[in-house]
Parts: sequence; C-alpha cells; structure tokens
Amino acid sequence: MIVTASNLHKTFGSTTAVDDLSFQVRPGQVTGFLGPNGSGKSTTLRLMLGLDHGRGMTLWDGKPLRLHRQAPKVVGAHLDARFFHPNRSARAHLRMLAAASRTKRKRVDEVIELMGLESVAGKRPKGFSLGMGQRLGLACAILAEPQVLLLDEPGNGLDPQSIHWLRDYLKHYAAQGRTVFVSSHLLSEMEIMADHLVVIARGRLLADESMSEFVDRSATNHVLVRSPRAAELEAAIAAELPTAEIRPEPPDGLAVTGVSTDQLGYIAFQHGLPVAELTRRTASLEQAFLELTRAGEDFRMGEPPAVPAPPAGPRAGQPPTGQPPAGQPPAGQPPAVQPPTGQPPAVQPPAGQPPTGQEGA
Amino acid sequence: MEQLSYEWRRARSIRTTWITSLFILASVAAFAYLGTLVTADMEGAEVLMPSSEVVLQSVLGNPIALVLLASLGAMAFGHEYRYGTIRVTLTAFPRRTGVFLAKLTMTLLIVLTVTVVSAALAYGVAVLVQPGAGGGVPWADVAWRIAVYAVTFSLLAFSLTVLTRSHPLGIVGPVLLSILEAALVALLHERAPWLGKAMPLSSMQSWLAGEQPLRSAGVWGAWMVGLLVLGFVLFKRRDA
Repeated sequence: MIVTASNLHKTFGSTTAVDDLSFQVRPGQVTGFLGPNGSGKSTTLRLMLGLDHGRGMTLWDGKPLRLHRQAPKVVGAHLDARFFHPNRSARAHLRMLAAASRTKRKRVDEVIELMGLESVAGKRPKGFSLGMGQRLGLACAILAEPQVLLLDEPGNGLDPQSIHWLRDYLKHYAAQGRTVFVSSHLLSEMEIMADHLVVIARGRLLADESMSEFVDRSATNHVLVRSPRAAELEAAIAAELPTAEIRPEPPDGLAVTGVSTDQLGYIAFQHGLPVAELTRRTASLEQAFLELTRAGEDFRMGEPPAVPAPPAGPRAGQPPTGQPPAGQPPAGQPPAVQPPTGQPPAVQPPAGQPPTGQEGA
Repeated sequence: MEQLSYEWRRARSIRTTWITSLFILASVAAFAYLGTLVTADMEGAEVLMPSSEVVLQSVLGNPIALVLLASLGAMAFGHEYRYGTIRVTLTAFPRRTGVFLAKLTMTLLIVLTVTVVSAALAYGVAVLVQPGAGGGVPWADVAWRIAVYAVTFSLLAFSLTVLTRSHPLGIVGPVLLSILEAALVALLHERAPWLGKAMPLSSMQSWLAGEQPLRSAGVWGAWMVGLLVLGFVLFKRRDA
C-alpha cells in the first residue's frame, strides 16, 4: 500500500510545525523518518493519521483513512509507549483493540507471545517500564496485521536485544510487501534498518531518497590515499583533476573529495608514485544527517565541554571499588528484561520483486 | 457494530466502571433502607413510606448516586483524554462522528442499566424491611423520573468532559452546576424570575414535579442537546 502525504501543513499559534510537507511511503521497504528534535516528525505522523487537524491530506492507497472500511487493517500505529489506561491489563487492552478490527482472540495471544509479554499480559501497565510499554505499543500496532506500520520512536527504552529483534521484524514485515514508516533518533539502527529516508527539519522536507543516495551526498565522503611521496601525488592530482578537493591527512595521507579510487590509482600509476593505501571513506548516516540538518535545528545544544584527562585510579575497563563489573547489575537490582521471544523469520523479498534491502548502507 | 463492541470492551475492562456501579447500587440500597426507617409522623403515628416513594427518593434524593452517575458519564471521554488513549481510539476509528455516537450510546446504556438495577435493589430493600407498604407514585412515573435524572447527570458529565477534556471537571461539573444554579436562582429570584425556568437542572426538577411539563422538558432537552452538540463540534474540530 502506497501512502501519499500531500502538502501537510500545521501551525501552533505563530509557530509553523509542519510546512507544506509532501512525500510518499512505498511498500516493500522500510522508510525511515528523520529530523532533529522539534522538527515536526510526531506532528506529521499525527496529521497523517488525522489525529491533528491541519492543511493537506494523506492518502492510503489513494483514499483518506476515514474512507477505508476497517482502518486497523490499513494502518497500525504506535505513537507513544504510555498511551494505555494504567489499570487495564495488557491483554484486555489488546482484546479491546481486537474488537475494533474483528481480530480473533488467538491473534491476541500470538502477538503477546511474539512480543515476549506472556508474563505481564495479565498485569496492569502502570507498573511497566518504558521498554515494556514500547512492546505493548508494538503489539497493538501489528495486532490486525495492517498493510502499513507507522511507528514513532519505537526503539526508545528497548534493550539492545529487543532493538535487534525489532529491526529484523520490521525488515521482515516490509519484505512481505507491506509498508513500514518509522521515525527514530537511533541513527545507527536506522542505518541498518531503513532502505529509504524522509528527512525533515523545521517542518520542511530536506530529503526523500534512498539511504545510499542520502549518504553519498555527504561532503564527508572522500578517498584516502597514503603515499611516502604525498606532496608529489597532491600536485599530480591537482594537475589532472582541478575540481577535486585535496586535504592533507598527516603524516603521509591525502583526503580527496570528488574522485573515485580508480581515478586516484590511475593518476598515481601514471606518475610512478608509490601508494601505501587507497581507501574509499563513506560517511555514516549520522554524519550525513548532521550535515544536512545542522541549519535546521530548533533546539540546538551548546558546545560540549572538553573531556578531562582520566584521574589516576583503577585501570581502564575496571570499575571503581564497590561498583559491579561492566555488564552486570549492581547488587539488589533485577536482571535486565528478556527480549521478545518470537523470532521473526529470515528476511525474504516479496514474491516477484527484487530485493530492495540494503544491508549496512 | 465494531465501535460499540470496542466501547463495551473499553468500559468493562477497567475496574473503575464496576466499582462505580457497585457503589451506586450500595448507596441506593443504603438510602432505601434509611427511607424505610422514617416511620412516624408529627403526632407519633406510624407512617410507612410507599415502596415506590422509597425507590424514587433513594435515587433522586441521593447525592452520592448523583456524583457516581456523573462519574460514569465522564468516563467515556475522561479516561481517553487523561491517558492519551483517545489517539489509539481515533486511529482505529478515524470517523469521529461514529466514535462520539458509540461513546454516547454505551454511556447511556451503562447508566440506565445501573440505574434500573439499583432501583430494583431499592425496591427489594423496601419490600424486605417494610412489607406491605403499597400506594404512592405509579411505577411508570418512578421509572421515567429515575431515567431522566440519571440521563441528566450522566449527560452533563459526558458533555462537560468533552468540552473541557478534563475527567475530574467532568465528574464535579454537574455537582458544581447544580450548586451554582440553585444559588443563582435563589439570589436572582426577584430580579429575574424567569431564570429558574431557563436553567437545565431547575427545568428538570419542574418537569419531574409535573410543573409545565412540556415547557420544562423542552428547556431541559435544549440544554442537553445544546451541550452535546457543542461537545461534538469541538471533538470534531480539535486535535486529538
């Protein structure tokens, strides 16, 4: 199912939260939704679902959501890990939602098991941790097996195992030909998970492209070449490729932007210059994201203070006296919550479609 | 149908609904019992209050039941706004008109059911404590008066909760309104004698007492429908 957001616009008083935003979310891939704090991501998601009123519209397979007979079969949304009645048990909450889509009880038990919520299904969510709340929210989103999953920061509060599980699950979900739109601040996770990105800042669209296109745009992408005759090599490159940007990387390296490794290798060979290393350095999603959104941060933090030199004391990697070793909880604290138990199947591309996933882009 | 089923599950899956309903039953039963204890007139002769009067007074003269009925009325939207679940509900049912109507229907069904059961309980207490006290108000009159009373306070709470998006205000609103209205009518009785006939609760009292029933019912109905329509319009237009 294709989700088309057209000219979404929302103001709060004199503040424009979402400014004429248009994009498409396509099936068969995980689309990441990125933006700095206060950039309008959550407002956009609420506008798409019709929870907030503003200008513009969102079409779900060509129709507004309210015109679909059963909205829960169209979109499963998870917007906040605290949207539960604190005294309604997790199972009762899921059964209530199941009534909205005539989903069978068996499916409720399935998602409880899938999310590893069996031990707390009968408990009231008021005692849930953020991570457990996220799992229950995800269980609600996938309950009716909707065509579109729309998730706002689903990884917040999840432990590493659960995040890993979530990533695999969403990729599997998308690989079945369904649509996944997920906002997250965990850029390292998004880098592995998302195939396509929609990036906004100050409510405006900055990028709507594949992960590889987005990262390739970064100025941080360059080729590193090391040579004992770096000065001669620099002159040769400048002569052969006048548009290339060359920056020395001491002691014997050059960072060259706007060229390929092939071109540099060829120039070095032509001029008979020895090369000790020739590497393409690709920007991470985080670098590309920071470059693109630097100007669009509404709530920018000050420069971080310089990191002080470590005081003389215990050896690096060892905790001070009285502290447990890394990875172990202090005495008296409960062990970490177990990750969801349901294993998502291996990621398979949808039948008849080429694989769109891009591992480790 | 899905919306009603969802609303029914929403209401029955929290203890508050059951506890509030049980407290209504208990308070009505207690007031019925107290009603049967008034057994002597001014001259010391034994007077038995007719069962129908006991039932009527145990609901209409019961301030605890009033607050609890308002609480049942406020729950439909109060909990949703308080805990943010209104977004979950409106994602599942994007058509807000249907959501509003389902909540209204389910609230009225629950309130009327609880009121009928509590009235039956009050009758049981009255018959058990003072058997044979017949006469009094016809049962049909008892039924519609109790229904109007229960609907009035639950609908006021329902509408005030939608208007203010505040659960506590929805519960205490009808009580505050009744105090405010009584004070206003008493204070301005001479300057504005029409005020008592134009206010919602006063007109309800007039209607229940059989004074200008058509006019009183009309004023009461206009207030109830007006508040509901205002709440509905705001519910449709506001962000969830």
